[in-house]
Amino acid sequence: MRRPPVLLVPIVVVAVGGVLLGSPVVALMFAPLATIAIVWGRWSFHRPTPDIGWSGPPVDVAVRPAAERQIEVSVWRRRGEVVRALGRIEGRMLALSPAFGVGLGFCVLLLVLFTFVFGGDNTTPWSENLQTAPWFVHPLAGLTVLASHRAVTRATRDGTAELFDTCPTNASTRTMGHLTSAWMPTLVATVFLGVLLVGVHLASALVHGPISSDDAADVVAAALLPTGAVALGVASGRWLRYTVVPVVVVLGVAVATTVLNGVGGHGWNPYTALSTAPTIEGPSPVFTDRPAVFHLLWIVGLIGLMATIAVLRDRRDRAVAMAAAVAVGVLVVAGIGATRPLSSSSADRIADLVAAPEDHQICEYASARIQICTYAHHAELLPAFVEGLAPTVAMLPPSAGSFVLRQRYLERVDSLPPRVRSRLVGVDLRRPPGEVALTDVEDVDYFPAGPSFALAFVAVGLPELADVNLMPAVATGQARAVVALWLATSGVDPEHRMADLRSPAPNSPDPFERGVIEEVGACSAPSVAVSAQDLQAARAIAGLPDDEVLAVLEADWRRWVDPAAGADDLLRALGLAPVGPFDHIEPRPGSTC
Amino acid sequence: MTATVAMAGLQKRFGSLVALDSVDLDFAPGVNGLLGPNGAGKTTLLRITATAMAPDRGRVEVLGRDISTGAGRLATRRTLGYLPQEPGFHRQFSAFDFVDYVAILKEWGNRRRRHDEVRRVLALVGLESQMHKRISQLSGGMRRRVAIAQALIGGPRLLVLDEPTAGLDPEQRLRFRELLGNVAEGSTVLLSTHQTDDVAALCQRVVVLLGGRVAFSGTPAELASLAAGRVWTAKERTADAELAWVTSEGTIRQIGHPPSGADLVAPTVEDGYLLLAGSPVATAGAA
Repeated sequence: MRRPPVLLVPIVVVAVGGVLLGSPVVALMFAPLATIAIVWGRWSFHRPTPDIGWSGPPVDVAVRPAAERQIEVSVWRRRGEVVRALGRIEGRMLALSPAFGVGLGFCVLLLVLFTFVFGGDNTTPWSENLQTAPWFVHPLAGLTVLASHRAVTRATRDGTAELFDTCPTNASTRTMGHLTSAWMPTLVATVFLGVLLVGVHLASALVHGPISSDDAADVVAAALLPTGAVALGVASGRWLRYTVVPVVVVLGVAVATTVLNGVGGHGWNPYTALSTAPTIEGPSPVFTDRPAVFHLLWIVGLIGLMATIAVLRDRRDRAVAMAAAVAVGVLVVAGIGATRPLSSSSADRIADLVAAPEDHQICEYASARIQICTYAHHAELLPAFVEGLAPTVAMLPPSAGSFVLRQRYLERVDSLPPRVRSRLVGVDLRRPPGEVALTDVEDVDYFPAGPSFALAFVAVGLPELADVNLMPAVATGQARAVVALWLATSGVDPEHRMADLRSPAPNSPDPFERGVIEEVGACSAPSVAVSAQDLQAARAIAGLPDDEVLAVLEADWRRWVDPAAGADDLLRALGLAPVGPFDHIEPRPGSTC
Repeated sequence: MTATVAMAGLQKRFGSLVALDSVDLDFAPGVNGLLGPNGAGKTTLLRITATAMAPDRGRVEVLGRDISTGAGRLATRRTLGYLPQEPGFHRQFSAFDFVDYVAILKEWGNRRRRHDEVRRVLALVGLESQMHKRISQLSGGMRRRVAIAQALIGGPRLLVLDEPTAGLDPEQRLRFRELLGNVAEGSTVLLSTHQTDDVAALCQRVVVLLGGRVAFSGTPAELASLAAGRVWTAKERTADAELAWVTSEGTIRQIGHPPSGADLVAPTVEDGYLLLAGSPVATAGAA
């Protein structure tokens, strides 16, 4: 049976991934790419080779070699040349292996997803994007472990071990050659990350914020993961040649990563820096001080240890012992550095950012009564906030009052490092009256409509956040809920506005689902629950001229924001037909990610 | 002539099987053939010489260096070209890549010089036009030629070839003889084969191993002469013939004790070897 062309493997991964993720763009890539792969495969890999004869004496070929080996050079130089040469050819063979092809397929899939498909929704700071780099590289790294294990056990599998053993290059030098093949996956990972970040930059205008040295360390650590993968694959192959071994090793790393990332539940977890893919902590990089450099050092130490274990199979001398000692030393230093308590200065700084955000923010007025403030880290979003809020602000009657929309630490305090927590004991973290929370600006479902809804809800006396139990406030049949919906969707073109005011599940038997305007499920915690009739009322009002609605609201704002005022009352005041009776809504808690 | 390879008291056992038993041999430059039936110890002898296996007892020196020491093994490997009996291949490699890989392991670090050398040895076996084909796409004979090519890298002073012509068609065997005749100049070649005509055509010296012991050591002519006066042809098989077979002329060629008045013919290397290997008396005498 013919083997499929190697190129087909990554393409199939991309296609399957696209189908599973429901992305037509990705899935549609399959047909042309697969066609190219099959045609190329048939013409290059499987073109039949005729059995050519051994024709003619080799009269024009020198019977003796033209040049001698470089046996005159020093042992170390000769060994270095051999290691480099082996690294080149092994790197090339690694790139042609099916397992590595699958890894490449994952890279392409992630590239397409996070640039073409979801790129436009990305509003996260650069630091968070860069922190995800190790996660993106992990599929490639895991499959590189498999490919490297197969490469290092190839001689035994294919029966060339005896021939190779009779060559002057010893087994430990061959091992180092295999380790040197890491240049290939590391180069691929570096290019992949580079293209991904450029793609993210081009796809989304709202990725923002500074890039720190810690972020750079994250990217370097991610790019080095394939080097570690090769070291792990070679080490496991040198000691245990069974085919199942690399699979077990990869699963072991996955378990270790999960365990290290899960220490302490959702709270502060310094041990995550010891995993190969640290969790992306906190709501914002503003409130963190990650030991990224020590994480990088930890990765370097692990690579060194794995490489030493690989060489140790065939060589046990002082140099190897020294290398092992250095690797362990680096791991100890990195481990201590990564898990040590936060410095006092960092703890003071973060505690102050949490306790007194106004001291660290820049603000802009959207109108004389509406001020928007963000941490300096998110300063690039401020103009987008002002622009996005402008229609809602324009429709807000003067009698609604003044508001400050402010970013603030709204997560659980136990997600902060202990030294920060100790500084916040006794500090009043409640928000002052009139402050509207700008919550996760990174939440793609929240931005840019989120601030408009937050302002609109607060303006009519409804909460912009679910309560501590993530339970929404029920405002079924209340005029103020309809007013808030109308305000929040001001400025949106009519077609999209009507769509925004519809439930994604209008025919659900569940009244709660029929009344929400976002998908109900994971990562969803609406602050206000209304009914399908309220949404119908909001759509009806949205169909009227703005000045007509505004005139009615301005005439008696206090009435319309009173919970006692019904949505049908408002409709009648606007000359529209009532939509009641309203569904009874049982509130249910939302969830966070 | 000074011996390139010197063996003294060589012994090797695999469990209860005695593969080599007190073998004393010297090999001088030129082509040295090893004959013997399956299990005679030929491959074991070659593997020990090629440093792929250590003997249980005895001493092997290559170019005056004891291969039981690390330095001796390294020095031997730097002068060695080895073709194992069943050479494996990395099927996903091209012929060029595979030979290049072996060249790297033979410490050809300089890329340009190494690639020149790889092209040279592949040209010697007539594969220069197919060198970038994957090995999985090559026929058995072409793969055998790739294996021969890797053994020729660097013009080794000691060439150990274990059944190099297995899988080659008659034309390719002739080409191989031609090639070996050229490259063997100044080198010591140890050639294990079942092809007595290869030995007759190529070897300056032939060793016959039987049951792990040296049954014969001499020139091919001397091996053939063992059968002098003991090979005859007749229309019917004679009772005293130890071996007999029908020739292409329709007569029966026979080896053994010819009857008086038999039509004696000139013996070949094959006759000598068959007489040696097939005769318990001769075998016992040689041992």
